[in-house]
Amino acid sequence: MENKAENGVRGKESLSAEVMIFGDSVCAQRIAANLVDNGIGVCLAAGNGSSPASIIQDRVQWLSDTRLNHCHGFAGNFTLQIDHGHNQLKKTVQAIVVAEDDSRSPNYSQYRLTPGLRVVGLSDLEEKLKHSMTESFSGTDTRIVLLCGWRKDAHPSVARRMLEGCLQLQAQPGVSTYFMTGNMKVASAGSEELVHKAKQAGTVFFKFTGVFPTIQPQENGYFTIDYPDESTRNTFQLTADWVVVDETIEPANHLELLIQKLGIDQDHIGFAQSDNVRRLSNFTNRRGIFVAGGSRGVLSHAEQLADADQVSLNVLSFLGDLDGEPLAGVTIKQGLCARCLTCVRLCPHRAIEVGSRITVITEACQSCGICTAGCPGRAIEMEGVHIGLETIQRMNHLLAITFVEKPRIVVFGCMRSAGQSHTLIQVSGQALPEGVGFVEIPCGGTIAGRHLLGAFEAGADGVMLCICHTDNCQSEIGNVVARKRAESTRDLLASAGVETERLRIVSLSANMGNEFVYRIKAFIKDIVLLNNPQKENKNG
Amino acid sequence: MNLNNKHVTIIGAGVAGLTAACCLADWDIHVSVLEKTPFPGGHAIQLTCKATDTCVKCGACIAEVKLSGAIRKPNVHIFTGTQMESISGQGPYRVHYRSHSPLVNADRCNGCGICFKKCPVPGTILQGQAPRVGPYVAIRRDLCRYFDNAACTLCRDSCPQGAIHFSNEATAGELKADAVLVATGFSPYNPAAKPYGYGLFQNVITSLDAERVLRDHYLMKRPTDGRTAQRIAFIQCVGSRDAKSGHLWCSKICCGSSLRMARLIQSRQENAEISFFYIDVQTFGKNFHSFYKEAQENIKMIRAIPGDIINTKMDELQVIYFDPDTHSSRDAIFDLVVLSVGLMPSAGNARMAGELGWPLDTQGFMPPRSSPNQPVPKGVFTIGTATGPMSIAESVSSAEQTAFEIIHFLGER
Amino acid sequence: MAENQPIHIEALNPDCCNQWLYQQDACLTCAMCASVCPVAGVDNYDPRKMVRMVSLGMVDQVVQSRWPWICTMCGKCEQSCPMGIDISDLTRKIRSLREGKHVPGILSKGLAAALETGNNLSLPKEDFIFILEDVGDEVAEEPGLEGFTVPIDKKGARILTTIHNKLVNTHTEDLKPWWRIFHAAGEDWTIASDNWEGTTWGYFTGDDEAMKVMAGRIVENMRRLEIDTLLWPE
Ligand SMILES: Cc1cc2nc3c(=O)[nH]c(=O)nc-3n(C[C@H](O)[C@H](O)[C@H](O)COP(=O)(O)OP(=O)(O)OC[C@H]3O[C@@H](n4cnc5c(N)ncnc54)[C@H](O)[C@@H]3O)c2cc1C
Ligand code: SF4
Ligand code: SF4
Ligand code: SF4
Ligand code: SF4
Repeated sequence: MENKAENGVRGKESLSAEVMIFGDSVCAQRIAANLVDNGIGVCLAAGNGSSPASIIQDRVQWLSDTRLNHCHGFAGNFTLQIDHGHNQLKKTVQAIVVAEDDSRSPNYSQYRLTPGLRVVGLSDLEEKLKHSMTESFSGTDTRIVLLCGWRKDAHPSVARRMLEGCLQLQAQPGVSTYFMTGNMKVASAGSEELVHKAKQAGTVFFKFTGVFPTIQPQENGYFTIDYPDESTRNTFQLTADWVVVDETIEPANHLELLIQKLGIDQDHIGFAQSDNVRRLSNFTNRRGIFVAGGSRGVLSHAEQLADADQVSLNVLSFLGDLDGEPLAGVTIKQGLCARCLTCVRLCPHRAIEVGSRITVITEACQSCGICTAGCPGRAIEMEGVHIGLETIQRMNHLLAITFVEKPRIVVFGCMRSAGQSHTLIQVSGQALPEGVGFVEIPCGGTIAGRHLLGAFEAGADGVMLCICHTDNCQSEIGNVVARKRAESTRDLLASAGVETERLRIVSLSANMGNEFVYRIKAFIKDIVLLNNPQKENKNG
Repeated sequence: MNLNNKHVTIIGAGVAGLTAACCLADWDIHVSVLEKTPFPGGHAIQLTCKATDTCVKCGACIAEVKLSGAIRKPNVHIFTGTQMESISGQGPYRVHYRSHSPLVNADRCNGCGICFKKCPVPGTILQGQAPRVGPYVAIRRDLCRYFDNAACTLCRDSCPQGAIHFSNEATAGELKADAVLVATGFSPYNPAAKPYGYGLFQNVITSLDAERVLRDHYLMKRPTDGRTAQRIAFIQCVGSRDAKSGHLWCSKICCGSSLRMARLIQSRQENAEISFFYIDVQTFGKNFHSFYKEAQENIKMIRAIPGDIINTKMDELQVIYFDPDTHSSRDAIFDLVVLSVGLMPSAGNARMAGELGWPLDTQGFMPPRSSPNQPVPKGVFTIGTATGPMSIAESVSSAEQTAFEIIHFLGER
Repeated sequence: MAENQPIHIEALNPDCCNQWLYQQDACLTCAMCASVCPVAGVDNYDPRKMVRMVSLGMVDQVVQSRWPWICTMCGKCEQSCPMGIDISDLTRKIRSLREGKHVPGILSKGLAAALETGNNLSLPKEDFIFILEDVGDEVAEEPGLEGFTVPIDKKGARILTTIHNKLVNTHTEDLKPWWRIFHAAGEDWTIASDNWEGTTWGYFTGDDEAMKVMAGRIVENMRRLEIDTLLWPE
């Protein structure tokens, strides 16, 4: 985005910041430029980065040599304590963006190589090519072998960069290139064309499925590579002047600390966003904290720039919403609260503030109800949600109808998954089987053992709890706590002499109307057998 | 920025168009979405959830999320059964469209499904996957025999709700658009030209068909006899990576979608034996490495693309392929074969590009403006698979990124 | 080729054939060609192997091997290849690179005979006509085919057909179905008494010059007999 003169150049000191951006990546800088273009004050905090590109230099606050110490507060009002050199800084901002670069390391060990004169990592190669330091690569009969994704598949964006490098090398006088790969990764825009171009330029490709080449370093620094070729069924030997290895892209080292201090979820690799489609594209478990570029996953250069625009839009929309009406929320009845802090521990969105009283921050709360169900003192209330009551009413309604053989079933279902599937089957003209009552809940996490037991007390023969699939919960852990709570309810049922099979936990998604019906029918069948054990004997 | 006097027309209500509609509506922009089919949601809404117990991040459910999001916004209007006819002006544009009135009255239809059973032409009566706008059941004018001299009225006569009303009425309309966003998506490859008997052997189906079967029937049912298929083959790259047909691209989503489907089938059908014929497996998702490892342990991975399929007398499918282990011809018998068809430029791209003056790339897609200097019509933008093969997550990203550009553009005017 | 001796890739010369226009370098190794090939696996042959060997510069090795000669020239590989590689033409090119005397005996002898005498068997004209008439008589004895005769050198007929030498040698029975069809269809057809050979061993061995001669003779027959439609069932 261009530097727009009308925004004026603001003095560095006098700048106020509404948004804090962590990182000095190209992505971070582009986000900063986008935001200042829209009149938003930005502070860029880089761990130890160099100064930002000139187009934003004078328009943003710039802090290098920083380390986040603490983050207080919530969406719209975060207070950050930052170590800045030897000083301590305090910043209050409305939103935070994590946009640290990723970290790239050459995969020497995958190829049983050690770094050396004639072994080049992909990033090093790119550096050399960028600065036209290619003399060392040219000369008569120079053979360069590119190693990509053998035992561990390469990311398509890495493979694409390998191909680009390969094409440039192949264009050097006297150079022959060989590309040795497991799966040829072409799932990146334009990659298939690049492969084709490289082949036309003279690069020779070898692909391997199970057996990979062996690479022997020679005394003179060259390498002997022995390999079986799958399509010609010959064994080949190649002496390489250079080998180029691909790289693994991982989260930056200091990302971990940021994640901890900001209280945001991380995926199994360590990126600052859980692997949950509900976080697409730049959201975290905390309102007002966004993640972009190399902080959220392996992204190509183009994708990182696109991410910057996306996250800018999200931040602008978020800031615009701050003035809007507060959301319907959750309140803690102070008289009942015992300050046990269970809710604080449970809340996946970090919406509960501990002060002289324990309070729920409306701006941050996403109304999952996990705290409501978890509070041992039943001190937390959710506006408009009275599951216990609703269940009893529904059960009374069911009981008013006399069933001969039909069991009475209560189905609790998350509104984001089972609720949607329920709508789907209703509109497609199917109805839930007779005797089944459906109670829509805001999240699996809203359900406590007492709701489940309440359903049994009200006369249900079976209770089915439908939650989102693991890793697909809008509130990250709603389904996990629901499962746990249901499992301990089972123990209670067992000690009361009720068959534990009468409580079933099922995971569903929003588009599973037919499966929803299928699962309910299967459950009814099992409950019928439990109700009439003789029948089972007859059948068996 | 006050944009509440701005109007944007989005062409195509797939996951890309709907995502953009949500983003723009947040800025109080008036958004109109034109969708040519009777249902919004595009391809993604037809896909099945591939979670076993754990979500595998296929992204299919995001289409539902975006659709319900768009419908909830008062300033988003989705016009189903509507085609753009032409566009005039230099920006702001005037978009001229035609809407066919739906043949099924949504208020009356209760989805009983009797019409499906009565219709003599398979595929004419469609059932939507998402019920939230317009009728849930729709009739395809191009196939319905009523429109062939009123040759058939079986569904109308049998509908207990009196919900079916045949008419060829179309209303023309016009929209003011400060910006136009093309989100017309892709066309799945039609594999009839490949040597697999698609169209002749009913148990050879496309991956899109397979998604629908799993979604509607839970198990992998065979079209010919409704039996649950035990031995299933997936053939990858059908129509993609195919220079001879001018498709020199990888469709990016089919490895992920088919392997996830294969694992889903195995989770539901304990004895399912699945073979996966491929050239190269592409990366999908953050947990690719562990997912792929599991897939390799449970699925027969064969690195060769079959050359022929024969329908046997027993109504089984004999697949002939080159066995990479023994280096000789082999055949294997399957109950069902799934062809993983690629993402092709949408059939209407050439017309759309011509109407808008937008350049097509050599492959027939409508890529976004590559540089600020590229001479393209002002105020026109393209997103999603209309621009090239991509996943649902990428389509969402592309929509969000472009929404930012549009807002910037509208703010400048 | 000894399978255990590694091949030194530096010693190969892929440049030797990169002027060829068969696109062999585009190969994805998808194996679709090998999957459709009716002789894949015979003596370790498969079309993908050929394509890859050429692409890697192993032309000498392929030329010296039996593999190019196992191919039946059915062309299914080429038809199926998604990258549009001209596999059949590539195979013919490879075959043509073998010195004449090393071309498999039957092919080279047959072709030489055809060039010299007009057919692979060096069958004299009288013997050829005798065989045709003899088989024709047998056909005429079949019910419904009474009065059938073989039209030889019929000027102005609608169709000229060639004959595969095997049909006047070991497989004379195989002539009859054709003739029955012609008769039933009331077709106006004929066979030339000279240069009637229908096999295309010039094409088969990649000897384009020889093929030109053979094809030229057939065209000459058409001119001589004033026929403009050719049935060349090879
Ligand atoms: C078999 C299969 C499996 C897949 N599995 C996955 C998966 O597991 N994960 C994943 O991420 N992706 C998957 N995909 C890809 C996914 O479907 C696409 O990424 C996604 O649907 C793209 O959305 P879109 O909005 O760009 O296009 P589309 O879904 O094609 O939507 C475009 C919409 O525009 C409408 N339209 C077109 N032309 C016009 C016009 N002229 N006027 C008005 N309306 C028009 C169309 O009717 C359609 O509704 C799969 C695709 C296929 C074929
Ligand atoms: S409802 Fe959910 S988001 Fe809100 S405070 Fe309770 S646990 Fe946190
Ligand atoms: S992302 Fe896919 S697998 Fe996961 S819940 Fe959604 S539809 Fe199911
Ligand atoms: S994603 Fe896989 S199946 Fe699809 S075109 Fe690419 S390589 Fe082929
Ligand atoms: S079909 Fe074509 S691309 Fe595939 S292996 Fe054969 S020659 Fe190569």
